[in-house]
Amino acid sequence: MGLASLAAHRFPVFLSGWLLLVLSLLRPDPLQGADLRFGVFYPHYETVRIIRRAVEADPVFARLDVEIFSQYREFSRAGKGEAFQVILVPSFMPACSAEYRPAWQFLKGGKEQFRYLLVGLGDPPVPGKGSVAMPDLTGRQETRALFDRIDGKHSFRNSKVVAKARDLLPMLAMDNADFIYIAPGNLEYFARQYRLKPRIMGKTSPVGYPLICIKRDLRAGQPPDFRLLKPETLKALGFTGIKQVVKKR
Amino acid sequence: MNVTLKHLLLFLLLCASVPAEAGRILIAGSSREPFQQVKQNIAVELVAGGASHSIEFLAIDRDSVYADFSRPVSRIKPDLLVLLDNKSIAFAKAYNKKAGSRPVRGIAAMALNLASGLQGNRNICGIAYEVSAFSIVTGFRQSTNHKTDRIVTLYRGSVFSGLINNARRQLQRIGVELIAIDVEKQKGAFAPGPLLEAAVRQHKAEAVWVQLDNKLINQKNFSSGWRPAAEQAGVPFLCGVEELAGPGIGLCAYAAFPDHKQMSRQVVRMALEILEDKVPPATLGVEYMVRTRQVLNQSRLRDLGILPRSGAGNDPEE
Repeated sequence: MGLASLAAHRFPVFLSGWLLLVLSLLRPDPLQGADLRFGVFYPHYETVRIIRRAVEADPVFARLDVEIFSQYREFSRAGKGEAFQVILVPSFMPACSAEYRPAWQFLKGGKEQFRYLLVGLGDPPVPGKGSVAMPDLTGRQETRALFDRIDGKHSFRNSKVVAKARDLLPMLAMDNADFIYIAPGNLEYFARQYRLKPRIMGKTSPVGYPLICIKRDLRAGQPPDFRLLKPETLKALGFTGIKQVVKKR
Repeated sequence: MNVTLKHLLLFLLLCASVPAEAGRILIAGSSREPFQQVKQNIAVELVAGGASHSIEFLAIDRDSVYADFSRPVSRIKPDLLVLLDNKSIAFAKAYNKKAGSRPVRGIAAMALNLASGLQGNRNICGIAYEVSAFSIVTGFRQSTNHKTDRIVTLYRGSVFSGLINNARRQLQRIGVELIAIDVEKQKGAFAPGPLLEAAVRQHKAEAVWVQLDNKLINQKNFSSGWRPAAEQAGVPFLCGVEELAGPGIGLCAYAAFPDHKQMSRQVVRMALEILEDKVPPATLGVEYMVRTRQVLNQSRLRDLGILPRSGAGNDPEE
């Protein structure tokens, strides 16, 4: 017999009613104990397997139902039915300002922002000529529009949006594309892996490192404090720090 | 005919409900495997990607004649053809020749020496079925501890000089020297063993790249020529066909081979670039497969004293 029902048997009706009310206030909401659905997507050189291993070993993620995606399309599809309550996504993903509230910002070397690099193997780009490949960050058309916005200096004949960051250097090396846009960390890792020596031809304007965003109408459950992430987890994710996002006035 | 405002509104509503960029895609190719599976993969990927294009299939088999291709194409009037095998590509080229100023755009895949076959063609782009030298060598380097900075290959210059030039350029970018021997310039009957043995020794090559060319490697010379060559060369043979590195045949120590699922995704990416971004096929040209699968022949590697790296192989979550 539960404490609440025992109280209802032994006390007068009006007292037991009050007691039930107090108990119900003290007892945590059953939904609060439920795991929050956490969707992780951002183009990173580490494989899903390695990121998952790091995440599973970190107690911060203990009460999160974590799903990790290496492709935007899969992430987008997985969040269409039952929406994620918490997401780790590129900072410029529109959802992060519409349906979600930016809560934590990842940092690298103390910085909040980085610039995508425009990289090639031959001559510098000529306006309106050549092809450029870019990772799918927010959908095909949206990704193109993003790079048009953050790199107004260069224009190309056509652009190819590839599913994964790891596809970029092979696209370049096999002449499937003349240039690529790639994040500095990914360039360093993959150039070393392939022993390729690409040339940096330009940089975009700064964009923020990925964010952890919380669903605006989140009612049940509280996301953990991600500032408690272990350094090893941050390293596996490709960062050196994390900070709480302060609401701008 | 009495056209009322209601009819007009209904017509406008129908126009608005059909996306402006929706097109008809006809996927033509053999009904055998793995072609059939690739056809299905492409259709699934198109739908999964949210594309609203209509898809139809056309079987082009060994006994198919040109009319089996041209009649359905004329009837369906596709906005894009996906051509899976050499026969479908040949039919599409003939169809476009007859169509004159109104050719059908196409993407070709699963056909060998495609870059050469589509040279100068402005209506059909494609994906080469040969695994690139870049994919084979980087895959092998990442999977083993074996130094691979200088490799030897045998090829027929009259057919594959373009492919070899591409390979040389790709390998140079990753610090690999390709020593390519044109067998058509060699004196006497073709014998892979002595040719490779001399080339490996002379150039201090660390691996042999085996070309997929049935004039060079076939049932006739496999047991007497290629297998002894692989056993005596003292260096690993690398290839782009899974079967050649299998335990039964065992010619190659490593193979990177086509990943049909990923290739289908690449076809879909090109299809959307043509249909939705209005990129002409000539601009896209012939691409190499970006992602491949791989197999390591453990017994050949052991015989050569080459150690596979931990975790080497296919990572489904890559």
